[in-house]
Order: sequence, then structure tokens, then C-alpha cells
Amino acid sequence: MGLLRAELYKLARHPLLRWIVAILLVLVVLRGLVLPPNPDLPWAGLWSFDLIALALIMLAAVCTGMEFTEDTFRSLVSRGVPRWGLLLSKFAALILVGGLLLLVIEGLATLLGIRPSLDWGELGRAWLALWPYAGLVMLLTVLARDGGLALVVGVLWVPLELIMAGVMGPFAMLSDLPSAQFLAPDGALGAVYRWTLGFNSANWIYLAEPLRAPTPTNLHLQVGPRPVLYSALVLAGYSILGLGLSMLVVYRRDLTEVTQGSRGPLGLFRRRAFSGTAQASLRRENQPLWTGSGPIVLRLARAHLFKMGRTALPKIAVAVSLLFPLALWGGAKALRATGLQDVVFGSGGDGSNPLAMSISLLVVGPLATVVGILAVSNELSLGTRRAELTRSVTRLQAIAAQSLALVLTVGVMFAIVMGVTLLLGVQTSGIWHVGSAMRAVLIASLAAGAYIGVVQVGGALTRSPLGVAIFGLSFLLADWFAILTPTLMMDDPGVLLQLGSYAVFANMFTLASGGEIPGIGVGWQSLGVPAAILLLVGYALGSHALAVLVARWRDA
Amino acid sequence: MTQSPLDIETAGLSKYYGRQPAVIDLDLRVPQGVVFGFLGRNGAGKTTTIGMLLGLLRPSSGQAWLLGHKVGRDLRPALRRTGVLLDQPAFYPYLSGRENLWVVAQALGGDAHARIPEVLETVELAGRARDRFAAYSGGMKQRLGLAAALLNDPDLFVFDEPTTGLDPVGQRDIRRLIRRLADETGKTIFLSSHQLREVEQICDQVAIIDRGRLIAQGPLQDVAAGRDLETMFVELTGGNDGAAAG
Repeated sequence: MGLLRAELYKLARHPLLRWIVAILLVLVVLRGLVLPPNPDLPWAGLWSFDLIALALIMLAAVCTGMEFTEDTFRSLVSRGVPRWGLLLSKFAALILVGGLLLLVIEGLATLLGIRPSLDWGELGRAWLALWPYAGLVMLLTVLARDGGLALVVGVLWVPLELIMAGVMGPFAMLSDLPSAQFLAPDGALGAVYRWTLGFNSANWIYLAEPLRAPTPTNLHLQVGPRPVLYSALVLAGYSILGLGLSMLVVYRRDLTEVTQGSRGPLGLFRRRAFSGTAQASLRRENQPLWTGSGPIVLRLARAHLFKMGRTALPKIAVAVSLLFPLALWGGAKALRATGLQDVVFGSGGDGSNPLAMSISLLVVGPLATVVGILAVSNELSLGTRRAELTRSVTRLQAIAAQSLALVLTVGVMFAIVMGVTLLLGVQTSGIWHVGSAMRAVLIASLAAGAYIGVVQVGGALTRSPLGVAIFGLSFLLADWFAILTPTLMMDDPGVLLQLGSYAVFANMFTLASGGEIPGIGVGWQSLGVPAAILLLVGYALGSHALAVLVARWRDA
Repeated sequence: MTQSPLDIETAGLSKYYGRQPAVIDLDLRVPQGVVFGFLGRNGAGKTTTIGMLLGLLRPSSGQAWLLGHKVGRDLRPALRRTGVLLDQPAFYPYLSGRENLWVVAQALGGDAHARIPEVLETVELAGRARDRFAAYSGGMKQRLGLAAALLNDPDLFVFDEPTTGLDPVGQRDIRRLIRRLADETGKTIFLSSHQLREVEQICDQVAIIDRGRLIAQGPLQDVAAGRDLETMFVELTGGNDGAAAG
């Protein structure tokens, strides 16, 4: 009990929990007051399950990761506290806090009239459905000995499952076509999907009845009925697997110190020693990597590119960049009989862009955010930004140079995506859409500037790797998910519908398609090409200006 | 269960990381009631040895006993009677000094929480106990680490390079505290260090480890054999071919 008390106290005092509570309260009040429910369409299901699952993922990753990065886990184990006891009490504290959040937010939603009444059975099942999220995130954190990896994977996984569910919907109508069965809910993808957390938590909470679930959660239930017991067993299995394997890993593994800076901020990117004659010479002379001639921003940017090149990032980037178009191609190939391959990779009769080029823009946000988080938090944990400032580099130059290098990196990564997409398009339609591909790369680079700018603001404001990760991922979710979700689930979206038009990714689509937003049936009003360009440039410059202002205001 | 009157004993203790040896065939004997200095250059194997004694690292071979309990499955009762300060004091940065001690006390159980005011007085941190740990200086963090080590009123203290990274005043304060602890309580203190002055000032017995192997062990005067500790250390460890101990 002492251990559980200690864990609950640590969680309650953690600044992240206060932010989470504040954000959830603001969201529920906004939802209740600004967008009152339509009495003709009574709200069904839980309003906040996905949000609280995301909050729990963040808390689990941050609070478990902190035990390794701050070395407190090793310290307590050296005092005779059992390893399994530490993990079990942390898990218990996390699910208790998750349950409390669920109760408070859903209670408030009921008071505000967002939902007619509180269904205690539904609430209890939702609480149990939070357990696997906590268990699996703990496992990832324990494996990496850092919360960053679990944070990125966990936070992106929830919307990704929802998007998967949304993509599978249209194929339900094509299930009689043999070649469409692969992507249909009853096909191979559906079979895989029925093992996901999103499907099983929805199936379990709403007792396999789609009408009980709110939109867009009910998207999960369209992959075909499964008994409630099936989902209960899958969720229990994930919880036991996550917690059990976490315990096994910490029981079996040597506990060594996690040295700041030597492992990279997300536990992924260990920087190798510099090599090469030029760098060795600079090191001998105790000169920084950016020594040389030319504008300082360009020299600094070159140094950043060199440093990133010495991590595992290029290999991962190339793998991800190749994977996306190949996955698209595989899907389209499987659906050749439906004509989808021509729609995705060929051009319309009017010579318009292949759809694949617009769809590929979806990767820009996660790509720019994750690369930005890695680079900026690396600077903070290694103290290299501070070292630059002591050598007469201004904050503006330091931030501009790093962002320039990052935008270039994302641009090159996206150019690989476009290159593969272009070749697949030529194979399908025989047309070289070189202009469209180049335009997509330019749009991606412009949008990357906005995402990276937000990450820089997070770095300047919080000066902590974790703060950078939370800031960047929150913006990505707000841009990608929080606006999309209410838009989808509103019977009268009103203000949110207009807000969606100002999202970074909405304007990327506007530019890629020459003014329209293709293939998205949510009814956003495109702002038009000139406004979209101005908006993306404004986001990129504005966020960077804000980052420089905040950095100037704060001590380095 | 009890194998030896010694507070710490190892027999043929070894640790390999892959094929790289970190500690080789270590036979260490730390009697009760002494301040024992465990000397070695950076990377000599001091922290690895301490990690194995505290159950953080699994030995590749050999055996060890802590307070008569065999390191392995039988270790937890011994650790409950041991106060530990690892090289970097590990606490939660957003909690105050007092809150951090409360968290440790809850994890340790028993009446550890009742001793918080007393240990804060001992390490002279009572006046700053409500400040956040992140706002502490290096010396204050180390003193809070000592306070946490004292919480369970242990029979044995294990300190791993407790003055590393501190300024001269901070180093002096920590040494003074450790010496006072030894004089007032008469408990065993096992102190790893590469700071020879520190060891000369506060230790009764020493062991010297070099490249994972124990090369000398015994009362300080016997090991030094009339020479000053620095000369002896450099001779034994071949200190001229690398970085000398500080």
C-alpha cells in the first residue's frame, strides 16, 4: 500500500496531469456551452474515451519513462524495493487516475447536457478498457527505458486506428469483388483490425451494438460483429501481456544508469562519434562543426544535417519513405479489378494529379513532427543549443538554421515518397506527373515549416525534451484529429467546420489539388490557393517568430 | 544463511559485458564498523561491483554476501538494512526535498517516514526542505541523497563516488557528514571513490581495483606502506599511462 500511495502522490503532483485535467475541462465545457447538443439527436455513448485513453498513454509514458531517465527506479531497487512491486503499483495508480478522469469528465458532460444520463455499466467497461493502454505503453517504455518512443507510438496509434476504420468502411460495399476482399472488413485487413485496441474497446464498451457508440467510435464497429466476450478476452490479454512482459523485462535485465545525452532523447537515436578528416581537425582545434565561410545560418544548418546524418535517422527515414508508397501500391494492386489502381496512381481524364500524390501528404505532419521532436529535444538534452549561444550565435540564427535543416530533411524524405509514387504512376498510366510531384514536395516543405515551428515553440517554452514531444504531438493531433473528429461527429459543426479550413493539412490538400479538397466528404470550405499559401507561410514564419521571441525572453 | 561476520564479502565475483570484462575474480572483505574506501580509476569496475552487491546487475560468476545475505534471491532483507547513495542522487525534480523523502519512505515502508524531520536536520536541509529538488544545488542534491540513505536507520552504508561533481565546499560538507556518521553511529561505510584525499581523510581500510581486478586490500597504513597514497596508487595502477586519479 505504501508503494501505491507513493505512486498516486507522484502522479497527482506531476505537472502533466494538471495540464491534462485543464485541457479536458476546457474541452468538455466548450463542447457543452459553445456547441450545445441537438435535442433531436440525443448523444450516445461516452464522449471522452479516446481523449482519456490518449491522456493515459501520455501519463504512462512520461511517468514510467521518468523513473529510468531520472534514475529513480534503480535508486529504489537498490534499497530493496521489489522491481515487480514498483511496476505493479505504477500500473494500479495509472488506471485509478484514468478511471477518476473518466468519471469526472463524463459526469461533467452529463451535467452540461452533452449526454442524457450516466450509464454506470458503460463507464465501468470503459475503465477496464483503459487497462491495456496503460499496460502496453508501460511495456514499450520499459523496453526503451525512456517514455519518448511509447509517447510517439501511443499517441499516433489511436488516431491511426480510427483512420484505418474509416478507410475500411467504403470497402464493405465492394466485398463481393474478389480483388476487394483484402481491404474489406471481412478480408485480411479486417481480420488484423479485429485485434486492435480501438475495435475491441469499442466492441466491449458498447456491447457490440454500433448504435450505442458515438461517432466516430462507431466506425470501429463496422468491421463486422464479434462477441463481446471475444473483445473482453483480447483486452484482458493485452493488459496481462503488457504488464507481465514489463515485469519480466525489468526482472531479467541489469539496471544500469541511463546517461542523459548518450542515448538521445527518445531512446532511439544514439549519436555515433564524429569521424572524417575535417571533423577530426575541427575537434583538435576545439572548433565547432559550423566553422567555415559563408552565412552563419547556412553553416549551422549544414552542421545540423551532418549531425543528423550520424544518427540512425537516415536509415529509418528512407525505410518509412519507401514503405508508404509501396503500401499504397500494394493496396491499389490488390484492387486492380475495381479500377482503384487507376484512380490512385493514374490521372483523371482531365489530366489531374494522381490521388496518391495528395494522399501521401498525410505523412508530412507525423514525419515533420517526429523528426522535429527528435532534433530539438536532442539539442536540449545535449546542451548544444546553449553551446551555440555561447559562441556568439543569436537565438534567431540558431533556431532558423536548425529549422532550415529539418525542413530540408523532411523535403528530401518526401521527395523519396514522391519519386516512388511517380514511378508507380508511370507504370499504371504511362504519364510522368513530374510537375505535380515537384509541387507536392514544395507543399510538403512549406507545411513542414509550420509543424517544425510549433516544435520549436515547445522547445523554447518548456526547454525539456518531454515538453517538446508533448507540444509537437498535441499540435499534430489538434491539426489532424481533434478538428477532424468533431467535424465528423457533429450534426451541426458550425464553428468547428470553419476551423477545419484553417488546419495545416487541409490547406496542404487545397494546394495539392489546385483549390479543392478531394476525397474528403466533410464539407470543409477550401480557402483557395492564394489564401492557403499565405496561411502556410504565415504559420511557418509566425511559429518561428514566436519561438525566437520566447527563447529571447527566457534564459538559455 | 549467515556466511561471514563481514558486512560485505565477495568470492570470485566477475562481470562481463559480452566478452568485455568489467570485474574479474573479485575477493573483497569489508569488516563491520569500518569506513572502507574502494579505490580505482574511472572505469576500473567500482560502480559495476556496487551494482552487483546491490542486486542491480547480475554477476557473470562468483558469489557475494551483503550483511550475511547471499546476493541473489536472498538479498532483499539485506538491502532493507542498507543505506545507498549512488553517484547521482536520483529524485523527482518536480517534488520538494521533503516530498521526495516521503515518497522514498513510503516505498521503504516501516517507520521510515517518521524519521524525515530528523534526517533533514542531520544533513542540514531542514530550512530548504520545501524547495523543489530541481532548484537544489549539486551539494544540496547530494545531501538529500544522504538523507534518503539515512531514512531506514541502516546498518551499512554504500556510497558510490558521493562527491563527484561537487565544488570544494560541497565536497568538504559531504566528507564531514560521512565522517560524522561513522564516528557517531559506528556503522560500516563502504565508499567508492577515485579521490585520494577523500579516502585518506575518512577511510580506515581500502581496497584498490584496477581494470576489474583487485590489486590491494587492507588497513590504509598497511596498503600505503609508508608512502603517500597518491604515490602508492600511481605505482599500483600504472597511473602514468593514463588519466591519474584525482
